[in-house]
Amino acid sequence: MKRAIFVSVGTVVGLTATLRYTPHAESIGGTNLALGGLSGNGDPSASPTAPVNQDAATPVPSVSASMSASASPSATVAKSATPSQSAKASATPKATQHTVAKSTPKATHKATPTPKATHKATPTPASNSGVFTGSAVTVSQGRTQYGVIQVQVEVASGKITKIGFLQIPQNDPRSSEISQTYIPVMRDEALAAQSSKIANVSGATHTTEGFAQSLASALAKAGL
Amino acid sequence: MSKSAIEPAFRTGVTPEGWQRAVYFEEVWGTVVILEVRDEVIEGDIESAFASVVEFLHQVDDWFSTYRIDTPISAYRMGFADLAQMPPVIQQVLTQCEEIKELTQGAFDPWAVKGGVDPSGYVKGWAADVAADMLVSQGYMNVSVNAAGDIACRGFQSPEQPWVIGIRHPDDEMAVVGSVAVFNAAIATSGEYERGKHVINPWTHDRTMALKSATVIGPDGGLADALATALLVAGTNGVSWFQQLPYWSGLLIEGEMMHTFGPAFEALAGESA
Repeated sequence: MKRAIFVSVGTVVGLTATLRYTPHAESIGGTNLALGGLSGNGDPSASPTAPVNQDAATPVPSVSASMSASASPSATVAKSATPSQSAKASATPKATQHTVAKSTPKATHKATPTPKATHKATPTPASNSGVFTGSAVTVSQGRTQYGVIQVQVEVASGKITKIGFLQIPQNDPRSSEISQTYIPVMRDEALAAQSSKIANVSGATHTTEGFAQSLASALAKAGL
Repeated sequence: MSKSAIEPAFRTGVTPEGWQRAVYFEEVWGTVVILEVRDEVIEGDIESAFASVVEFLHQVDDWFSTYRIDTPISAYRMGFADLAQMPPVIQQVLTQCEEIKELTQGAFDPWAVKGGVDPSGYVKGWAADVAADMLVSQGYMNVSVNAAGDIACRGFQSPEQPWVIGIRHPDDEMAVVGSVAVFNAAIATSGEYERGKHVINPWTHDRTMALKSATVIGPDGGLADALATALLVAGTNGVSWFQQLPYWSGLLIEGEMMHTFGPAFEALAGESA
């Protein structure tokens, strides 16, 4: 029965044994996310600053423009010392257990100049640096209007170095919740654009269209 | 439907490894779906390939949206139509939902919500899977479809590197607890942080969840979407039925503990042994 379900819904050729798991918190590289726009957030060439994390003793990888970083050295998901002794272990026979440490890789970004060799696809380098403002987009859900969202990106040598909000929806107490829903998609896209390591993130909260519109317009202006 | 597009949602670029990438944002289902194709050289008319997928995504909305009154599923929910009158695709999806309900011993139950059956917990992952296969069938072998965190991957993200997907930290949307490389598979995560999502516990009829988040990886997107929700509700009690599925892997976060199951995490298990 259960196998029958698997067969009947399966559309995929197969799952090879290329799956792996890295028990470290990956640094979400390349993007400083800040509310309130970009002014006063420092310049993008600043050297990596200490993470906000209390586990700051572990080194945070500097995110260079090449983003060829291997596994993150900041092991913020620590394995439990004795996984088999937990009471849960009997209930979950084959489980492997680890403790989940709170990790806050507000990625510190080191804007190393991009090696030019592999990046000549865009013939408009002049437009690939600077600060670009996205369109102001009204955010609504059903009949409720939550306000306006507007994104600003800072780009250096074709890389996003910062993403900030000029405006976030504020018409409603839910505004912080709403704006939280925008950040994951922004983060995903910034990651996909710049990181060779993580292409996407599973579990991002769902979003509405406002953020994507504003970001897309900012990136289009940047020629990215 | 969507607001006037201010800028085109189609973009191209080059990965750090020198592969070409083409990306399309589409606003649909009250969220954003991101289509991405990569290759050494992306050949053919990728924009029209994306367009065909986007048309499908909106077709899915036209079939399955429970937020619109003009969809077949809404007519069925309200009792204006019989199951036999539904398009075959809706009947098939509801049949799958029934089987998954049985498989998960009721933890995934689209019939437990008020207002009639709501298969949304299956449809998003299923549609992402179909969308990825549509791109593959048009000759694009390296594809990722991200439907707001439910992701279907085909092929590679860079030479010899399968797509690497981060798993969101349940307490911090800016962090990930780890990452997995997935090849021709789907990955879905459900978390109690998803306030906007209508996950309810079918036994208590409230939003009590056993876990902080549940991530599953396997060969079917719709099933992945449903299983992630089911495990979030059932917690480690769901491991008994989950582990009977061949090829599936799971990562459950319960309080400060993280439990991993299946082939995707076997390397990790060996490491800690």
